[in-house]
Amino acid sequence: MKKKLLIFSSIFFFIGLFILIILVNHLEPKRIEISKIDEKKLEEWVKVRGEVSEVRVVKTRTGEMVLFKLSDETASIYIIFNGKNFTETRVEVIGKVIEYKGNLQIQAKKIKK
Amino acid sequence: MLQILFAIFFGILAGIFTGLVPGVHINLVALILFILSPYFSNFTSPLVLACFIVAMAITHCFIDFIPSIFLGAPKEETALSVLPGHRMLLKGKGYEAIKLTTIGCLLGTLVACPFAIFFIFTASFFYYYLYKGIPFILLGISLLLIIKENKKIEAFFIFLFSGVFGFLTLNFTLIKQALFPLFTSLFGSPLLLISFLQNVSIPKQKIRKVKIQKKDILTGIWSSILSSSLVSFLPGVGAAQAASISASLKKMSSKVFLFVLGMISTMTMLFSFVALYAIQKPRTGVAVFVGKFLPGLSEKEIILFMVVAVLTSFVCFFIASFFARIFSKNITKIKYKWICLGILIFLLILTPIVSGLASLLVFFVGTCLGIMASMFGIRKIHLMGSLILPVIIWYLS
Repeated sequence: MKKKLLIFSSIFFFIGLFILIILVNHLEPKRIEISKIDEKKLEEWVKVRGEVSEVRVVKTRTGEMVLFKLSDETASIYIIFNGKNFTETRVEVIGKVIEYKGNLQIQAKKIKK
Repeated sequence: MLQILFAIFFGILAGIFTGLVPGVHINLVALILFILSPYFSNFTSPLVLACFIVAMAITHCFIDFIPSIFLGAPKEETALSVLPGHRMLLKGKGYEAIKLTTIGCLLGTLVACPFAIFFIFTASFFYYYLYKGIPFILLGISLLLIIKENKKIEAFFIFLFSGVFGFLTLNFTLIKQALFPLFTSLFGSPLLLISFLQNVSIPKQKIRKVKIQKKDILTGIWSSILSSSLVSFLPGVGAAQAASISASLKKMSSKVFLFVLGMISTMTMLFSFVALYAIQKPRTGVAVFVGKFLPGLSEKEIILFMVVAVLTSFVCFFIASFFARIFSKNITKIKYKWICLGILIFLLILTPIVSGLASLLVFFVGTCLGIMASMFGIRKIHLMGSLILPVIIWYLS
């Protein structure tokens, strides 16, 4: 029984993992308006689009991060990004809603033009 | 003062609820409290609400082991208690298993307090070196654990693939509360499914006094302090990784390991409040909300939290024993096979509710991996790669 279970679980694991890889690489969260981001969305993945402003390079205890403000027609929110500085003025951000010093921010995973 | 006592009382009640019910995390209750806080601010202060959260969090640390050990339904912090707890359950020692984690939790709180004061002054200093060093520490202990196995290749394979799986799950944008399906599927459901398929039955549970050797207590204390202090101040690592670190430091029997898990559970929770004060960073979901209620933490509040924690711990010591007694007496009334199936179905229904429909895929894949790990006959701890590898990657990037 052990061997059968091992074989079956291995096969299903790889099939499932393969599907998961495809989904994670190709699926994106739905784009939402920044005003819709509130405490209930904490720790959720979101996609937002808007104008970039107030770009700053922030030195933390352990490295550098890029902080900027993203504004769409409804509201604005600060985005923190662990990557290189950029010059685009209109971007699409995919990231997780986090809390920092009392405010909601988005920790960006991907930034697109 | 009276308000604080009320807060502790309700905090303990809330902690019992979140601890006993799988899938309900204290962060959820803290979030609800935060959303409702404007209503509370009319007749109470943020400090009182923070005390509620501290009491709830500490209670949760104690009670969470009960569903993990008796029902095989763990949360992130207690995932590693499932197997040793289950082993003891099969020997009729389920009560003893809980007693061990409970004693660990209580001792953890008591020992953590003096060390907390030490860390308040030193945390800031060590932070940078810790931050740079932790990915290597984690990698080192994971490899050490693999090398100590008889079946090294299988262990490495499981570690690696759990890392890939964990990485994918944490980046899966369709699900929320990713840790719930991740840990339930890796540690909980495989055990339940296998127990069901193998028609495992539990013997009558004996309620008897727990005996631990003094040297085991000392081992437990120093390994818990070491691992808890390493993880409590850094982002992305918590009680689960601390348990892995402790396990790699010294070989322990199931009993001692459960004791250590209990200690780590409360220690990491307490240290996370210290971290909030010492380096202004909340390292647990609970600390996040305490930080929101009390943006200007001072030593006075930390000391109050420690007092709350110690009081709560003493109360929870008896509450946990009480529940363990109830579970021990009643778990043999229904055939264990059906308990396992029932819990499994419950988790299958709960997972999509908590994390979204897509989390069922995660649940499926994780369960398969967990079953593979069981069938290989290696320690479950390698499945921690699901958290450790993504964290290492995150720190190194």
